[in-house]
Amino acid sequence: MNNSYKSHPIVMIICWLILISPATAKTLYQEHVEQTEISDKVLQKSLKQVKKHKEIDIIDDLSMPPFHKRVALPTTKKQPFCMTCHLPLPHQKNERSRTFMNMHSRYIACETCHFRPEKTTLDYRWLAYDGIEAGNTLAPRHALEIINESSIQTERKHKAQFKKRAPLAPQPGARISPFYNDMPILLFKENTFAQKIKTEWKNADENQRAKIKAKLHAPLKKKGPSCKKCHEKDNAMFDLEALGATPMQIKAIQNNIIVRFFDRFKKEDDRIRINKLLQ
Amino acid sequence: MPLNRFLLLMIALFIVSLQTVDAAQRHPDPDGCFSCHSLEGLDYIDKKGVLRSASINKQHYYSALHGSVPCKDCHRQIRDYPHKVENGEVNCGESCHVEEPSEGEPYTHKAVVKEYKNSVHGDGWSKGLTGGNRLREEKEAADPSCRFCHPNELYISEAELPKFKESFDHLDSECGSCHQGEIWLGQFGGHILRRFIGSRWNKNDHNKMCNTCHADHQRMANVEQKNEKTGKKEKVGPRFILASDSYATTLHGRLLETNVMQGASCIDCHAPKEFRHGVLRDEEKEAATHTENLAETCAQSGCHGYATHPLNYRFVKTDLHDIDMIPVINDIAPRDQSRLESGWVKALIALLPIIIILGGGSLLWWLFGSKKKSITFSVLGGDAFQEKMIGRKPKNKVKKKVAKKIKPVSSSSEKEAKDE
Repeated sequence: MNNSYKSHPIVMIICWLILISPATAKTLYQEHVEQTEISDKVLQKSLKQVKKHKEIDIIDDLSMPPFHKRVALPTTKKQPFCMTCHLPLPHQKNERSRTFMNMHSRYIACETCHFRPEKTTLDYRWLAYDGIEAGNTLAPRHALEIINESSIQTERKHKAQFKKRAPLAPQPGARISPFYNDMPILLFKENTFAQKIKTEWKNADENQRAKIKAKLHAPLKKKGPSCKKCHEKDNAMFDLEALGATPMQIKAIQNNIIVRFFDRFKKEDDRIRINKLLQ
Repeated sequence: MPLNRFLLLMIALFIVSLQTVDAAQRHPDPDGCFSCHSLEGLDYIDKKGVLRSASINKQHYYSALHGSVPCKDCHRQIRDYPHKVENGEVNCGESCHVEEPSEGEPYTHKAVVKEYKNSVHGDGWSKGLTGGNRLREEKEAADPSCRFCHPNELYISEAELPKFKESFDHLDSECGSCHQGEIWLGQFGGHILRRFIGSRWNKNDHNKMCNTCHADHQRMANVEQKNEKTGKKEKVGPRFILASDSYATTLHGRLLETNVMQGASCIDCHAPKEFRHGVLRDEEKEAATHTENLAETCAQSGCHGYATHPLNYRFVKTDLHDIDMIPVINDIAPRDQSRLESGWVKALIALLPIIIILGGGSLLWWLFGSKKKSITFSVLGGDAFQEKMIGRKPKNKVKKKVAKKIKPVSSSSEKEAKDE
């Protein structure tokens, strides 16, 4: 077998097909949006939200420096369609979970949590948001290692990386994204459909905007799955091994103390003693 | 040697070998805060739009100034999650559980805070500090807070690390014979050995900190000071606004700018004592820059020792913030009425008639004067100057020569006229 995974002709054809497919076919999300009929009640709710909405300008250049050292927010070459309207750190309101949710948004696509249609089985894979492969499906890290097995040097390099707790993502900026029939569900900002919606929104009045907003959000669930849905061993949402997680990483994900701590919260306004974290 | 004596000696040596100078191990995260806060990307955007981060870079934190201070020593009331904002408020004047290495007492910034609170910057925030009120502080507070000048920086800056490693290596082998173990080196060694590479901040670092605000004309123009005569608060004048610029023109400023550390920094004159936070207004009797204290301030640390001598009393009258030294063209100048009282302006007024006469004369000469080219000599002679410096013959000789040259020309032309 050829040492280079990327240069294999069959792989190249598959990648090429994946690359051009969003331009030629509709994604499952897009289909859902187009098929949605909006009820009056939903429309009224949407109109209320549109009227209430206030733009937020992110302030990150205060002359008052943060006391603790801070790392700049990572940016990616490709950005999801959701970010046309939503902030790069979209979770704002829930005091308890917002930071943790925003942390997850660094390696999990919005649609993974918020697009979960019933009676449809979705597949989850790594999708590149950055680098030359931006927009392409990525092989999980361990698959990359198997392919590179014959190269002793590369193997050593990977072993060294694992010693430094190599991240699960096959490359920086990659996110676990939902796929249907081998096609990614999410749209990037530059997608034709995304561009069309953007233009429509720009030229629309409040009522029309309410309709667009309602349609776009109709296939989505406001609340994402519970922590346990991914962090538990049985009936987990992801096949962590297939996503390239090492046995140690799987163990760390499934026996996470923060998840256990969050599981103690029963009501929205609960406050729990931190020392419970260690119990 | 009898066997029992030998055994006793061996036991004694064994016990002594265990008694190496060591310190109890610290636990920098006894409350387990890093279980969550060491995660990368715990960020959100608050209601005001300020980017907030709950992530703490563990490696940086442990290498920073507060690396040995457990989180709860500053964020005292945090007990439950979600954290209540008010429970995380920091008071820099509190004592922490870290022991001051030399005396074993709880470490505190209390004395520094006290000095700072009595200074001109004393209205700045030293307590109630949270990540969320940075925007409010920026909008409301005119004076710098503790955190404004002192973020949690690395204990040894990256630029100084090679120098530190060199010192550390040497002293590790010297001190290591008694003080064994990483704990000692971590807890005391680094702290003590840090001193071998000099103070953490040099004079330029101090000036840079002051200039964050004082070099910002717009910010300084908004400063209000109490007028001692009227008791009312008034906007400061150009002398205050341009203080950083005027300092930069002095020898002190220029020496430091070229990294010659003999120059005096801002706080060398304005807060030379104690914790160097006690900057006071010149008018205050305790101020290092008060007229009566200037001689002592200038004479400190062997700088200008002669300043205290009665004969040198005029030395301390040197204006180190003389705005006449600043170019007139600057964004503050149009508002600067005090400049009309400057010696430069007075000299200009005195010289103005002469300038007008000479300038006017030159202009008239240029417009209506003779256009013929001729050799110009000074009115008062200056023959030696003509000969030696310019290399021209003196006035008398030149005139004769010209006369001689002219004569033959005129006679030949007369002849030609006659022939015709």
